Amino acid sequence: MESWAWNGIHLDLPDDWELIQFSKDPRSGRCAFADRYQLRFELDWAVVDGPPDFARMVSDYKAKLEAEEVTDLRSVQHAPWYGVFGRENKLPISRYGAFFPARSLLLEIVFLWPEEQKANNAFEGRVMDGIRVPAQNDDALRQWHAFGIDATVPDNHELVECNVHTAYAEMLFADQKERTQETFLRRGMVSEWLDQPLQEWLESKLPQGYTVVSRRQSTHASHECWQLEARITRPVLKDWLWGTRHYQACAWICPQDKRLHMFSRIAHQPKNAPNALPDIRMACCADHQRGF
Amino acid sequence: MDKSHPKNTPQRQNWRSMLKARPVRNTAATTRENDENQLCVVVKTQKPRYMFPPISWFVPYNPQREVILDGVGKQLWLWCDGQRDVEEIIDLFKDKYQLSFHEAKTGVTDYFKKLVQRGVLAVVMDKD
Repeated sequence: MESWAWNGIHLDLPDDWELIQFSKDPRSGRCAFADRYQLRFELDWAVVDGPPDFARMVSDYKAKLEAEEVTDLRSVQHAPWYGVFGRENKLPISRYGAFFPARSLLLEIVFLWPEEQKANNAFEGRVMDGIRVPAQNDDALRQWHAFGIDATVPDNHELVECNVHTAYAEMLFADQKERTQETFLRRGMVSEWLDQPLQEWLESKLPQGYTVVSRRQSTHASHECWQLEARITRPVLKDWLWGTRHYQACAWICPQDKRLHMFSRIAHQPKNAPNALPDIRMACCADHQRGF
Repeated sequence: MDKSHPKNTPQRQNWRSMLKARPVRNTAATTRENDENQLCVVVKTQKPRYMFPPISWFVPYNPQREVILDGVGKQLWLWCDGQRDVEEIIDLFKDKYQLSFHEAKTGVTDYFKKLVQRGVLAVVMDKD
């Protein structure tokens, strides 16, 4: 099973199921996972005021499905999940809903079983048991784990961009006022495109208008990391108000997955509290994690 | 299931038939390698019907089209032997570059689409 974490929702799914559709909205959205042939699992979330009346919801939903000519309908339950099983065009489909009070989240999950397979209740139960919605922790950090990126960012930072292509995944987070931005990048097929030393490549990623103040190289668990710090060259009014903008970046090539991992942050750094920025971290494998 | 959060039945996308299709090279295409490890695929083009004077005096017509494939493209082209299906090629690509299946699928199918548009590759689908 492979672990996924999206919008504070943690789940474990079979290794060959991949995230192929996602929403960025933390209040309401959807993620869909597929094996190599078809969609297999869907996760929907919505922030609600309180726990819904599941018994009524299930009966209403059953009635709706009946009207849509879904056959073999029956209620199913796997605490705290309530659900409905049915067949649509003879294909088994299970839907479940549960409320997670830690973050007032109503989750709905859908298992889409292929034609040649029967719905497997034990497997569904294992997946449901693995779904966790942790409450905000003491250090107020949230883990995101998708597309091979394992990122930890402040809990109140939202995913504002997520670009995924072949051998390329990038996630950009920002606080609501966009005073702090974090970028996490994971790139594969390194031998095909990286035609310069990693430290030079990292420097080429420096945003315009920043001056490098320090460069560092270190090795942890066979991971050779390059780190860069820079400061805005010409401060403007907002730098006087909230502190000078500061850029930090770190990159390495993981010897295990052979991919380039890079994360960076642009943040206002107040003069009176230079270390006030919350932690961010990126992990590439069980052996290696970096942060600042 | 919540009425405030209505949801439709998820679309049952199935890529099985696409994955079982077999890409085949244009038999009329000729290839040559250049010094940069690129493969140049050349296919003849049909002269458009409108290509007669005075239009042909102004609109250039090239009787052949060249498609340059880089190292990765060349490898994909070589895998398109008419025997392997798209799924097998995706698996080869995935294993060679340590990608996930869907990552490789997106790259391979997008690339094949471009080659089909340029007339150097065709995709054969089974009847069933």
